[in-house]
Amino acid sequence: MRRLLQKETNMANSRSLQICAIALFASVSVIAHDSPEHEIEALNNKIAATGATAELLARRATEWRALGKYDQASQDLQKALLIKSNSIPLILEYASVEMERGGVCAATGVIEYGLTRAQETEKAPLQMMMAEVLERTGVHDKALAECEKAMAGAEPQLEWHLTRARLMCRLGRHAQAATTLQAAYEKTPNVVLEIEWIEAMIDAGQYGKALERLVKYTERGRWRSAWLIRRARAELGLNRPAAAQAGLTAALAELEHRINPAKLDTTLLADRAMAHLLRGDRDAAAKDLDRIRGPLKAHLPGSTLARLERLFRDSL
Amino acid sequence: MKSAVFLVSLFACSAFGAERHATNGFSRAPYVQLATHESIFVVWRTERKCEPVLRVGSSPQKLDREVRGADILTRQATTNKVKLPPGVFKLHSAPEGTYQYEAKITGLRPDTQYYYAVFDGDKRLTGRDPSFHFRTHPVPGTHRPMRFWVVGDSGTGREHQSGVHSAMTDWTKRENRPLDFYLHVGDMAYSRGRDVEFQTRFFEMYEPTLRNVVCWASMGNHEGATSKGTNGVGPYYDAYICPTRGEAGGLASGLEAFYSFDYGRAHFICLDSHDLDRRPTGMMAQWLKADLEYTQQDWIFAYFHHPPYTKGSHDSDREKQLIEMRTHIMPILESGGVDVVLTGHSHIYERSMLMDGAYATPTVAENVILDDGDGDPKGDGPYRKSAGIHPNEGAVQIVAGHGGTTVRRKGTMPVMKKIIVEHGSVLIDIDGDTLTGIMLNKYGERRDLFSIVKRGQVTPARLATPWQPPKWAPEKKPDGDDPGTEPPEDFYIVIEKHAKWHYLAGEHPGTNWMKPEYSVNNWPEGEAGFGFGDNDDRTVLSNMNSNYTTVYIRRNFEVEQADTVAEIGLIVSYDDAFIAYLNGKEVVRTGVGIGSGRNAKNIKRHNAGGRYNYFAFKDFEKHLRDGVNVIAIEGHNKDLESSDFTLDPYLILED
Repeated sequence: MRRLLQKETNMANSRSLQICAIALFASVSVIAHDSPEHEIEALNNKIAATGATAELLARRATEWRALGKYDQASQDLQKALLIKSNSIPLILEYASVEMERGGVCAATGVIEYGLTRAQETEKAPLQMMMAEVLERTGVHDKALAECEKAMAGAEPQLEWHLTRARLMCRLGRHAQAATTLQAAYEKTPNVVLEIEWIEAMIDAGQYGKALERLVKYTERGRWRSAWLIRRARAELGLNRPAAAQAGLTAALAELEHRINPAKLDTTLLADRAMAHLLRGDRDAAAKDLDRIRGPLKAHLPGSTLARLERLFRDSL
Repeated sequence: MKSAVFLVSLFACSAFGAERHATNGFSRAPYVQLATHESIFVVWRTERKCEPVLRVGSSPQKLDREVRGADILTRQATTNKVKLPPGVFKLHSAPEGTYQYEAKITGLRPDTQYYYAVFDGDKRLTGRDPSFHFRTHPVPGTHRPMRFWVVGDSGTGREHQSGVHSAMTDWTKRENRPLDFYLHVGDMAYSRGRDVEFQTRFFEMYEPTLRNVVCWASMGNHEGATSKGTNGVGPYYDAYICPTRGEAGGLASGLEAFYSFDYGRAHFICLDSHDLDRRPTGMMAQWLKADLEYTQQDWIFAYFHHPPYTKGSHDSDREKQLIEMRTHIMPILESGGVDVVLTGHSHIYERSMLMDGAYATPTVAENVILDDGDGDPKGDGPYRKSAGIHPNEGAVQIVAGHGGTTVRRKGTMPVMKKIIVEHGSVLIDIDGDTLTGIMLNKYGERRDLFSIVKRGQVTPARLATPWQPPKWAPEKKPDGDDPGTEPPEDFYIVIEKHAKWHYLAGEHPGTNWMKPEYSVNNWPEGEAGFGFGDNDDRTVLSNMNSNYTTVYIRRNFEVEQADTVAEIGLIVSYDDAFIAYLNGKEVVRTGVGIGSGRNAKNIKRHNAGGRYNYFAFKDFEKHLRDGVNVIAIEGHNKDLESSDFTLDPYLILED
């Protein structure tokens, strides 16, 4: 209530006063709610006046990060950690900045440091970040182990289920991936989990179950190419090439309409590569794949690219 | 968190919204959430446990449907140490002892107006007036005219915000065309999205609207200071009930941070641009692609906080979140056929031409504009797209970050047709194949109008050299006359206007007069402002003219926790100059060249003119202390012959 009364006072004053000059010359902000540059300037002043605290340094690091200035962000976070060495949020932030600027080794060091400082209940996000680092370096088994540890230690975030399933698939454990994704989906319905579950079922040879699950998406929806391609994969698995080809033809027609050659949507390109591949047109698939492997690679989920690459290899 | 302000003197006021919210035992008045064509939630809070009952009916006199007791989800705010009783869920951020009730009523008829009332057992808590009503959504896919309101960056709790809201309500009343729902594009509770800020700067400000229509919200960075998208915990997620299972149309997202819903023939997609992975490889982007492919509606709207294109208070060519929304998310939205993208964050109104494919950094207009007209049916004509949804036929980008906080402009975004630095909001109407959007400023004036018509087959063409908005440069601050800066967004008054101060006029005190240990008990007291000659003074110094040029004033104030103070400063009307001290240390000097007190020199003339300027205290962190503090001000006239003098300060702080 005291807050409310203060606010009333504030508003009443705001109305009763004419702060004309303030409105006219509102060119310099000394407070939050403005661009990162202004925030940094304000934080610089505050740090100069009061000395650096971990909180101020972390806030400034966030602003540097917003401007893509990772070196400065990293420096501030290092300083912040010197002040507050056991802060797990700071350690996570520092590690993610290092990841973002491509410093896998540095990130690993930060995470390892964090794991020595963290209580058992705080370790899960660090372990997930370690899994991500290991995945980037191609050490999938160790990445999966870290992921499993994290998910056993805390209530998993939805993305963690995807990471775990992706790692399982990289290790060829498709059925296990399907099972874990099904469990995750049944607990928290999410269409991305469902898609990966269906893909994992197809990869695991559970074609009938996959078809049952995806039928609703092929019957409804404005654009169905992605679902028609998944259905075709399952139908090919069930040795129904004619049905598969019909679906693939429809999918390719839709994709030709949707793909904007001037502004490529990588996910659509990947869908087309898969459709070509399933139709047996390896050359056309290779063309799309080559484009995806270039700068567009970062725009495609790792699991999708890995699946494409695997099927491309297998098609030889 | 404890308030920094310990002692605040209050005076009479008639605060907007204050009478409305706290009546009848509500600590948060009833508001509606997550409407579908057959169900809706009514949510309210009380400061103590009650026996919740919701009654609903087709007229205020016939509330013949009822939800009560265990059928209403109860949340309780409590410390982690207290175990909640079975069936009661945790309310994460509210004051301890607060109860939040979330009553879902199902089996309703589509597109139908219902009235409701909230009870504690048999005691009716809501008034008997018919203003507590809502309308269910039409069945998804049904053709029906619709109107929705879009507002962003509003959560200051101040007059700009209330003005923007009133302008909208007046407009819709005048047209006799109420809102069907409302989108908030984030930053609704400055400055950290705390529960108390949600209460005073969102719920109380919009209460008359929120009781009737659903606010479908997206999270801003300020809410992100206390709420997290990955786990859905914090005041933002306490406040809203968002569809996670595709229950309002669209596909299940599993998280309240991003979701979609249908209204008639339109599909609405909310994204979290603040704290979730914005990359195309992230879950949100993958969900977005699937959701866009699944919808069969004729119109697609996307809304989120960080704008892909802006040069308002933020710059989309420089800031990571904005760049990522443009380079990662916009390609998915545009290949999915989005029609309008609604954002905030940048404190300005910017509205683009019809555009597609502008993903580069910096943003340029060449070859991304499909129609460079103004979109006004009475001007260059509406923007035209093919009937239904087609990829890459163009979208209109609207930055609506002008809903209440200070508006600002940095430059010119070349894809924009309208750039307006005023407070306001956006109203969008859809009737069949025609969309009409207007920008209403806080005075209720229509400042922009555009239209999109989706009819027949349109073949979009990219313009190599489209029209572009004129270059803009910031206005230069005139030399001299009016220094000062902008006060904080959310301040508390520590020493109110016209408070009593000790003052000394006609003589000079000892040199340590500004220090806390100096006693001013023998100084007289008077109400601010001090001065003569311009009829704006409460303590008139009638003998000042020709006799002396300097007046000293002092007052104590208390602060509970100095280290929580973000900013402190004076709002002051003055003529000609002054120096302010905090606990004996100079923190503001304006118009005094060198020296102080009797030795002050080079005084510059300044005319108060009824205006108040704001001066933040420099280095206050070094001087402000817990408990009693002293503010001392010496006011100077340029010379003995000056025809007037004014020193009328009050002290504010932001915590």
